Amino acid sequence: MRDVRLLLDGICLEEFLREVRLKEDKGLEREGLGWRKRHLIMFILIVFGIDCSNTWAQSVTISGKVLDSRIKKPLGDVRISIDGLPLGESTSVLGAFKIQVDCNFSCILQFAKEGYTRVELPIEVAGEPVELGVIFLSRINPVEKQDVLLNLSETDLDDEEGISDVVGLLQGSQDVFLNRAAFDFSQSFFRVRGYDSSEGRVHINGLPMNNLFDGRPQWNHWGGLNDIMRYATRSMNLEVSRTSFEALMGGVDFTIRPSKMRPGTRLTSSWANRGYSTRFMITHASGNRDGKWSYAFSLSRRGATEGFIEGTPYSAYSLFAGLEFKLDPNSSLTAIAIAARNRRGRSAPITEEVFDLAGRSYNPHWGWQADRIRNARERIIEEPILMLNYHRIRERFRFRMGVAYQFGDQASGRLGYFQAPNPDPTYYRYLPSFAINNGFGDQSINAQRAAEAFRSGGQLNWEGFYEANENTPSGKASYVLYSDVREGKRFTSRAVANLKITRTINLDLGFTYKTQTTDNFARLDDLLGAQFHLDVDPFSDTQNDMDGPLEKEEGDRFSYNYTLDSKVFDGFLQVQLEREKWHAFASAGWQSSSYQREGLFKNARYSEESFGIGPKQKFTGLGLKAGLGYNPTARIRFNLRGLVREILPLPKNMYINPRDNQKRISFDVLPDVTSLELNTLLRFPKLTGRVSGYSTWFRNTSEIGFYYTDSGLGSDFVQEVLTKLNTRHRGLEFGLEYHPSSSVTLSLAGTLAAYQYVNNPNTLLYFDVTEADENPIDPSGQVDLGTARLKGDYLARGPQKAISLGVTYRAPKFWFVSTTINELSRNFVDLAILPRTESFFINPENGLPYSDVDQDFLGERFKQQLLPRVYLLNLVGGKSWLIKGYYLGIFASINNLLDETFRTGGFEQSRNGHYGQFVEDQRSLSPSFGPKYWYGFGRTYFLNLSLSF
Amino acid sequence: MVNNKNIIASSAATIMAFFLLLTLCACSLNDKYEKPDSCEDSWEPNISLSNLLSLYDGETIRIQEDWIVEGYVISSDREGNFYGRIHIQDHPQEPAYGLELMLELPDASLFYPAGQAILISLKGLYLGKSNGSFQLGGVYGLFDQLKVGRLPGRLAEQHIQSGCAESIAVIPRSISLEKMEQEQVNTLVAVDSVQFPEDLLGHSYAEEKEETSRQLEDCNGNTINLVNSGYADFAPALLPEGSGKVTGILLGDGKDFSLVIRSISDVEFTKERCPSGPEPRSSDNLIISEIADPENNTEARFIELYNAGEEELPLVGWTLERYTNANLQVGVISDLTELSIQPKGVVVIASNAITFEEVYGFPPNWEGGKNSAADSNGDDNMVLRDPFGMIKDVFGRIGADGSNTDHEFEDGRALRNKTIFLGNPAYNPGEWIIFNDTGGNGTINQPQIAPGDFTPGEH
Repeated sequence: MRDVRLLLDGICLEEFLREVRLKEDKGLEREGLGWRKRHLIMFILIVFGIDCSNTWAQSVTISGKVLDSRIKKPLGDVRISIDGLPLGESTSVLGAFKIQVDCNFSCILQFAKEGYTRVELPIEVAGEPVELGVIFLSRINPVEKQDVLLNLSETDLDDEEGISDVVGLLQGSQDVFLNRAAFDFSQSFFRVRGYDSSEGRVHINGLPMNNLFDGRPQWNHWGGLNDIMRYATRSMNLEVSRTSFEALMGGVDFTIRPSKMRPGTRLTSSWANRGYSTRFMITHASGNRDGKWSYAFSLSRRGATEGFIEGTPYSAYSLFAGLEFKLDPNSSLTAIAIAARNRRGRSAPITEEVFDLAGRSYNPHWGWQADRIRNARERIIEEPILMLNYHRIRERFRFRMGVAYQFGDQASGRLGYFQAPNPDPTYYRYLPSFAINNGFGDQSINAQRAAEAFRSGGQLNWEGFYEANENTPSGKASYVLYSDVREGKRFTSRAVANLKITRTINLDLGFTYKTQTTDNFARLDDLLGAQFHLDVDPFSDTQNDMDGPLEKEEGDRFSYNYTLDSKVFDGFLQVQLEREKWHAFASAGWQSSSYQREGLFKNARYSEESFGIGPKQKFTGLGLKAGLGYNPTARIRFNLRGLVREILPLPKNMYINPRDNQKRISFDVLPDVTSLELNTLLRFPKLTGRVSGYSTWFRNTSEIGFYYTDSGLGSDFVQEVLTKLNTRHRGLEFGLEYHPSSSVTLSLAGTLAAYQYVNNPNTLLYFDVTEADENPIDPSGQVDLGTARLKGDYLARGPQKAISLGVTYRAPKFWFVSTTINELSRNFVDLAILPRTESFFINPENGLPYSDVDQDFLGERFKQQLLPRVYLLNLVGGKSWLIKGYYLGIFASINNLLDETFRTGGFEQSRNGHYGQFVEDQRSLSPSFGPKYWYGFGRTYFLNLSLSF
Repeated sequence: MVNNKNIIASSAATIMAFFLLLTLCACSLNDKYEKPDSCEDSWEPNISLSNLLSLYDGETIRIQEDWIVEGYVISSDREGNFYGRIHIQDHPQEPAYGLELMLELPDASLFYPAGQAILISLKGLYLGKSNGSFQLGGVYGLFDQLKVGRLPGRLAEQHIQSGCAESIAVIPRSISLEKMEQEQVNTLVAVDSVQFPEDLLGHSYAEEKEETSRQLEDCNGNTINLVNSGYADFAPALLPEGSGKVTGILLGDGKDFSLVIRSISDVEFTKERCPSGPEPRSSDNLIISEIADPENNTEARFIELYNAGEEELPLVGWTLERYTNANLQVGVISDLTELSIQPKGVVVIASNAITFEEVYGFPPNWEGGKNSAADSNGDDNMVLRDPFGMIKDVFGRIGADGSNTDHEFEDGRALRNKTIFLGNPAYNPGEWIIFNDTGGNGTINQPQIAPGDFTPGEH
């Protein structure tokens, strides 16, 4: 068994398969098989996979026996091929085989029989005969679970918090735990190891796609193009990747090459009640053809008048076109274009009071306008990607090089109000609690009527906005619909080489150069019947654009306008050693980045700091990653991996208030991260899986928040800056599968973790100071609040404990059903910082500390709130048919079958920034500024129908 | 190649099918929203404001019927002088009634601007009265009583609809400060020819963050309070100096009226101030000419001043002081500002104007009242002071009780010699002829009987 690595995560498998298929297809052609038969064997349920290591081999004798996996009977007539080239050998009636192979770089041994899933094994030989033992072939069950699953959680992908972006990274992974995380735990904002999604790197054809502003990938850029995004190489966590240095959560590298796609046409229709209600997709690929050219295209449309959450319209189109030119048998040029436009209405977190009134699917961001849902916070993402890739593969060498150009914009809609009532129906003054907390006398009748009003009409009143604008003198707008726009261009170039130096040594290196220029501004989208908008900041009553016109019209930029130039250069070098019983790798990554802001508006709040080109911010940092693996037997394997990396600040956590000024956090010491993990991998015939323990320390990180607060030092709209923040993420992960029979799989997966603050970070507040301010918090425009008492508290990064129990039944007749029951708990509410600083105890009336602090009450209120534990029952099933060469698949899933109502996340509001107001509000039974929560979906379904030919 | 043709044919078919399906799913394809027509489903009024108000019987009531009342908005919170209330009246020009709609909605004038006809769905609202003003709105409890309070803002949409008619100018009713009526309360009124009193000039409309009353007066001295919010945009503006028209909503309970303006432009002072009183002026020619204490009628006492000068003398700022008996402290000061005295003329200040007229057959120029200089029993001392505080004339010696002295006129009369044309700050008995009931010290013991022994009005 020494030379065969039974698969783990299948990460590289697909990559290899495609290489193999390329050759194999030719072979089949020679045998005179039609294209339908060819495509048939593409429907592979991957039962085995391989490790990523490319293997080094030479001529050797291999023997073994092939059995039917279900009935355990020998299988004769199983064709055996090597590297896609038929050897002309087949198994005997007893299933036995013995072959002589001559193998060089990346050898794959294939076992194929019609009606059975093809098994491919990478082999590594050293001149000695290899006895493979028993190899099981399973009957084909062509439900493409993997494919369908790819669609499942997509509805969550563009969540604002960037939390669910993780889902995209995880889907398609073969790891049991990560699969559960992607499809089950993700229903409650689960984050693998508590990391931000920027810790997962996404590549297309080797080119990095993460944004340079916040480091996160944006899945909407290719949303709906599932058919072309199905071939990927993944590395999880600290695993070695042959694409790049990657980050803490690893990376995924999508390969988009028409020649590698399944030839034929595929038509998909889906119905759901999550983000979208209907979806149509069509994809056609030429596959690998005789000529030099191959091509593929894909179109998709998704839409909904509203999703599960009220008032969330959805409209998305996606388009893909790709052309590949074969330069010679080993190299090709690929040109692809991906254009996706995604437009959808967003929802909001709500307080317990609002939830009690209106329920979990309530959304304050919409209202009716002429019998149509109009959402004020629509997000439109339209950033097409053009890409050119060169790909060359030789026996011991693979080289990829590419350039990408991405352009377009992301616009997030908002409703602005100027000297007009707040349009948000959940504004605290409109809620029943306001009557009770602020009214005079017994307000119970008013409160009850306010509750009724909210229940029957807690939505935006669009007609009212038009009416108000009409009634505003001189044509000035009281309400406007505008967008925060990020419009930019990004140019990415990258080269990666993978080399096999010797039989046991692999070397990888790569370089990237990225530049990104973005214009960031607010754009007037709809004046709602008004003539113009007076461009004055409503908080400070100061001019936003001193050198521009005061009156702005539809389409104009207003409020703020700046550009941000980013340049990033990175490189990585890595060496891998592969031995019989152990393997090791070491990677070094180096990155340099520079950022520069240029203000295009001069505002009156920061007349010196708002306009013009700011200083260039340059950072360089190093990262090291290494791992050691040991496999005492082929069934069990251990590895220990570690990483140390300097974290280069991103604009998002460097510029304190880039819309208004050039102010930055100064990083005397770069943040850094250290991470260790220990994995145990099991590959027993009936039991497979992984158990891991990890610990990660972040040091000197920073966070910036924005809010309006009534603090002990005064009231203002502030930027809250936390610096010198240290956190620790540690925990256990496990994902195990047990196969009592070939048709039944039991699984158990979960994590037990703690993501905690380990120190008390420094807290600063920044705010503008204008002449009109009678009582600024501090005349300098910033104030140091000292440290915030956070040590020992938990980060709000989704459930820190998750357990999933699953059972799957796969019938030989090509249908399956699978269910999981999941318990999610230890999900903490995000803490407000101000109440945990000393300033909280200062009375803003007189500047003196409160003398009568009720510590007992505070002690109870300051305890970090846990969201209730939730149990989710999910069900999936599918069936497929092959009729005269047409493949038809049906897949359905029901999430949260028990229709549980649950909170997925929450945060304390920061409005009550001093003791007096906090206590007064908290003591009422229904505080005006209690925590806000996100609620998960109730029972939802997804139905998918696909036809391929 | 047959296969390839198949592919092309089938993909063409599926693309067509795809686009067909696309058109079927036309949901939210359109990015643009049309401006809505807000005049659909408008309500029909079915009760008049007067009928509504007639329901009020002294207690706050909840309206149970599906009634719709129409009214015209006359207030506006645009400049912040109104908060949480909208005043409406039942007719744009000739209102019979008005009321105050209490609503917790800032910037309500964006939705219900002044001049807008609005329809109010009454069911579920409360009707009450406070300070003479009918109120409609939400409710709160206070000591087991229901009071009309602000309606929660989110209920506005349910209860108030803007009429479809364009806003029209509500024409304020002209009223006079002399005659204001309860029916005019809660309607838009205009008072003409008013001004802020001189001593308020230089003040702002309102003190910061405090509700402030500023008096308005007409040229006849009638007044009304202008009530301004300390949060109004114009609160720090200085009160204007001229005179003219003020438009506002009249409030009040039948006795105390006040006026609230919507905007600083409601104060249109384009005219000169009311003709003001003469400048205060001193004179040496004003003298005390006769002091009377009739034996037969103490109620018929008076004091008479004589202007020996050649010009009319307004007595602005002049005072007449009485030092009772031997007191060194002044007893009663009478401000003579309202009086004016002709050249070679007199003014008569009576102790009791009614009695004086009964006794002497004509009214006095002024009533000084009890214990004033006009009501002396003959042993007190009198001082005439000019507007600048200078003593211009005296009778008697301050600190000396007049009894049995050369300045006692008990039951008698002190008459200035006709030859005296100048006041004298030092008492000289030679300038006086004095009658009393004791005699001695140059006085004549001859009690005097009213009216015959006295000559008020002549000197």
